[in-house]
Amino acid sequence: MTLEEAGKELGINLDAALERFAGNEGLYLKFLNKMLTDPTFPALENAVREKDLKAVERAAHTLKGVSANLGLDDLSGRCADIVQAVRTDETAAQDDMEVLFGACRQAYEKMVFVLQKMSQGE
Amino acid sequence: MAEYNTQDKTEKDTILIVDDQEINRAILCETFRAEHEIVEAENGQRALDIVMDPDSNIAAVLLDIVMPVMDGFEFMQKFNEAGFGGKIPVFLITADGSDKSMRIGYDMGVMDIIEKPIVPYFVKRRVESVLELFRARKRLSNKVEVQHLQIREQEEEIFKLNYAIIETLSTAIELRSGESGTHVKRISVLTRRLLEELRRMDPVKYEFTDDQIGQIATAAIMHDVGKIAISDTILNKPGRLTPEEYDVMKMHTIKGCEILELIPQYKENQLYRYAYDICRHHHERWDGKGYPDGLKGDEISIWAQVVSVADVFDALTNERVYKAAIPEKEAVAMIHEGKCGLFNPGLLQALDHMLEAG
Repeated sequence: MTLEEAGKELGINLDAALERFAGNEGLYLKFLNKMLTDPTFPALENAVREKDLKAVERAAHTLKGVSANLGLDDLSGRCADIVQAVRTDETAAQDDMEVLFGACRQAYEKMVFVLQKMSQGE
Repeated sequence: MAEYNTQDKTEKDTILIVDDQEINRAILCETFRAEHEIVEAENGQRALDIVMDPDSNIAAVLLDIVMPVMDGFEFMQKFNEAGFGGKIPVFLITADGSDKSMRIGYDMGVMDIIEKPIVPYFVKRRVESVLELFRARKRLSNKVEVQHLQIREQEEEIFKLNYAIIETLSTAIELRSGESGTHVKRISVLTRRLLEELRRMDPVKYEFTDDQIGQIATAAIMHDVGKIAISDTILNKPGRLTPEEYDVMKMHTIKGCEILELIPQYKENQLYRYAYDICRHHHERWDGKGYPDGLKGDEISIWAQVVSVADVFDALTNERVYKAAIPEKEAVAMIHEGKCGLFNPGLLQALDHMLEAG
């Protein structure tokens, strides 16, 4: 899978993303692939399990930023939803956490799948 | 005109990028590294260490807010406390675009708040226009410093010129009454040395600053300017003066004051006030039998007393038409014996010390 195809699969606006990296495709790919080993999602997962809302907010905020930088707008958007929920109403957020995190996980796992295909040269 | 070195135009500014996420630092680095040197820090503490390093020379800070160890706001606080606020521009680069955070940021003195994810072109423009502003301010303040130095140099020149004029005119007046051209210089030096000796002997009572001593020594030069208003026949009479002639002669003290009062700066300048006092009272006596006001003892200002002694001492120790120069030791003895006017004993002690010191 090429970068262009991966981009299409994941809904990445590649032009905008590459511009952010001053056109340096090599650098962009480096960080895109780094997402596969990035510890933020596991940290988020952990925080959700432990019902630690502060930690959830922190991790979601971080992941939101990183994915937005790479143009992974889907994932970024789901993280933003979590952050927004926690900041607006903690109790409601706690109640809705399963749904909110579920959507986030879905976007994340799709990204992992596509990136792995790309890096394996399929 | 001295040219002070501002930053070499080919030197690149150094930008400090502060963010705990490597990807964020990488993006900012890519944006700026073509035209700037880049230094990175992963939290506020590291960033602070870099800024505090005197060799680092940071021109701008790009600052994330959410970081472990020390976050952006805490960095700003410490940064301001260390005195860097206003000197190095700080740009907040944040994903948290809430009004509240923006207000806090601006209140703490950040130049601009830039939202993540960044658009490199805009960030570059915003940062660079501020950098240019700071560079221009620095150039201006360098220029101001240069001008201050030039003004100080010019002030010195004016001061020297004033002194030269005062000295020349006073010398001319003294020449008219038969004094040598160097009398005026010697009086000034004697006055200075006597004042310094008095200060050494009793620093509490004679608490002069170096500036004051300088002014008094300059003012002393004008002690006999009043002689210009005394007729030649009396001034240069070879024989003894009649009582009437003596009365006219004594007027040179008051005439001198009248002349000084004509000088426009008279009222505002301390120098002229010293000169007035000295002019008027350098013929007073310790026992009150002097002229024109018959002041007694400490009623006479110490600087008038000093000039008085200096004048007598100089007259004795230098050649005149009617007498030879008297050796210093003898002159001092005569003064002590009250043969040439009566003086403050403390002052005479100072005279002794001064001569001993050579």
